[in-house]
Amino acid sequence: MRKMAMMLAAGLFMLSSVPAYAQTAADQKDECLLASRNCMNQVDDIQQRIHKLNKEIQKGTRVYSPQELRKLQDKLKEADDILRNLERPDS
Amino acid sequence: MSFQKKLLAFAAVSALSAATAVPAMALENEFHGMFKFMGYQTNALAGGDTGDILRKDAHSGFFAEQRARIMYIAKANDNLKLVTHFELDTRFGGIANSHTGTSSYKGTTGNDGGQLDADSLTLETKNIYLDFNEPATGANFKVGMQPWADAYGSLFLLADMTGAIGTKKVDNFTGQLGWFRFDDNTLANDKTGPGQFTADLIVADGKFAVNKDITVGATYYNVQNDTGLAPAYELLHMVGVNADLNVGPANIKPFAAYQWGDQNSAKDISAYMAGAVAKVKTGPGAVNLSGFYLSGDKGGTNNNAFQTIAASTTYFNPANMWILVRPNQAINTSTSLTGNDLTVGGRGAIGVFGGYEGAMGKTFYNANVGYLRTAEARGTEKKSLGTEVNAQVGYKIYDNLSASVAAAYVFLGDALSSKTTADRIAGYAQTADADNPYLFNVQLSYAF
Repeated sequence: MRKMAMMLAAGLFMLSSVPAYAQTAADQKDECLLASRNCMNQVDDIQQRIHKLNKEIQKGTRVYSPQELRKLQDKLKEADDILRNLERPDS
Repeated sequence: MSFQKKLLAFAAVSALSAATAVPAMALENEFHGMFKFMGYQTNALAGGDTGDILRKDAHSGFFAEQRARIMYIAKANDNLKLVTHFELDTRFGGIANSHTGTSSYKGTTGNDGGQLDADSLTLETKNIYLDFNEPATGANFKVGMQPWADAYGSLFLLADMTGAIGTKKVDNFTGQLGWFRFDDNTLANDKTGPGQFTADLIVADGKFAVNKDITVGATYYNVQNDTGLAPAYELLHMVGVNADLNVGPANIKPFAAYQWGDQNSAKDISAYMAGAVAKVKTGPGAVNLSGFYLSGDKGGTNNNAFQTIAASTTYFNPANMWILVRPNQAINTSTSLTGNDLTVGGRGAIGVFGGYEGAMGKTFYNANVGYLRTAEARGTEKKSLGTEVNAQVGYKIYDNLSASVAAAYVFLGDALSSKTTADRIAGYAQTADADNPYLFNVQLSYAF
């Protein structure tokens, strides 16, 4: 019975522990940036988002298709626009 | 396999599948925002927008203000989202509704929660719009209350407006067509019928990327104003060209535009503007150079003055000024020597600005100098408005939190500070022999 309780506890622990999302490797696509997929537990602030998009764009055609690169560039522009809009000096 | 082993295997498998299963994202909730604290020691501002204070023996004092902006984006998928954006402005201590007979700039007591025990309505709406890609045409549409900026350094218009804009990319060409209704003075249920007293802006914008270093653009803007209110014209056409050029270490953005139309049935408009913004990477930072020319008139029958929608919705952020032109870092108090009217009441203006910005590790700095004068003088008025020098040093406490201090000083030109009445521009100069305005700014800035 105690073993069962231990196993259940272990199972519960494993269930609740969601792996921290690792950074994408140099030759891997960032599906979250590219297509808003696999964005588990991930909240970027706007600077982080801009930084990550720049990093992904730098991987270039080695990793992304030209169409995907354009999409990332559009998203970078979108993030830049959000930041600019947030910091706009209107009264 | 014993029961216990089966249970262990079941637990392991279910834990593994739970950990690896990626839930389909039904809706992505995206939050962004900013917070800025500003403290000013100055003889030129008092926490208002009407214009810089230019007095003889001007009093120096301290005031502080804060702004938060909260943006929530409900993203159904990559092709569909609702953008909402709100603003909360507060001057420390609140803003008096009236004090010794002078009314406040907000006009109501309920728009600032800075007084004792806070508790006021402070929330302002900036943007609420739907942003979606239409799958059949591949065009992007933005419908609702949204920000829009002209292609001319915001010297004509940068504002949040209600309207709709469509953007379509075809290879290296990006075309944009938009309509904004920025004023509707028709009363609700008015028997005149809808849309009688309205002001509309129509926008057509084309950009062509010749290669990765050269982009050229052309625009047509049209304003029809049937409100009988500001802006002070009935019909305005504006055509312009602009470019974005990378030349070696330099990025240069030149632009020019021509305006024509009807001020009223008896008066035509014929005006133009030109300008350029350049950033040249030099050493550890960059040299910033910018300038503009807005045509003006001497007050004759034809109106040759460059027209805007409203002074309050014009900017020239590349100037990096604090007093001559409204600062690009401003929050609640966002004004300038001419109350943000860069056309100086139709006289037109010439502004030239230069500076250097850089960073060393977590420290950043910039220093700038600028000169502003009117393009045309009316009567015996002088043209020189002033020369500004300013500098700022800051430190990044975190990636998205910075603290900085800045100082700015303006040597007023004769048009604003002369002892002789005939030299000064009425309505902009406030007293004879006004003191040179200055400010010290301390700032905390967080964006996420």
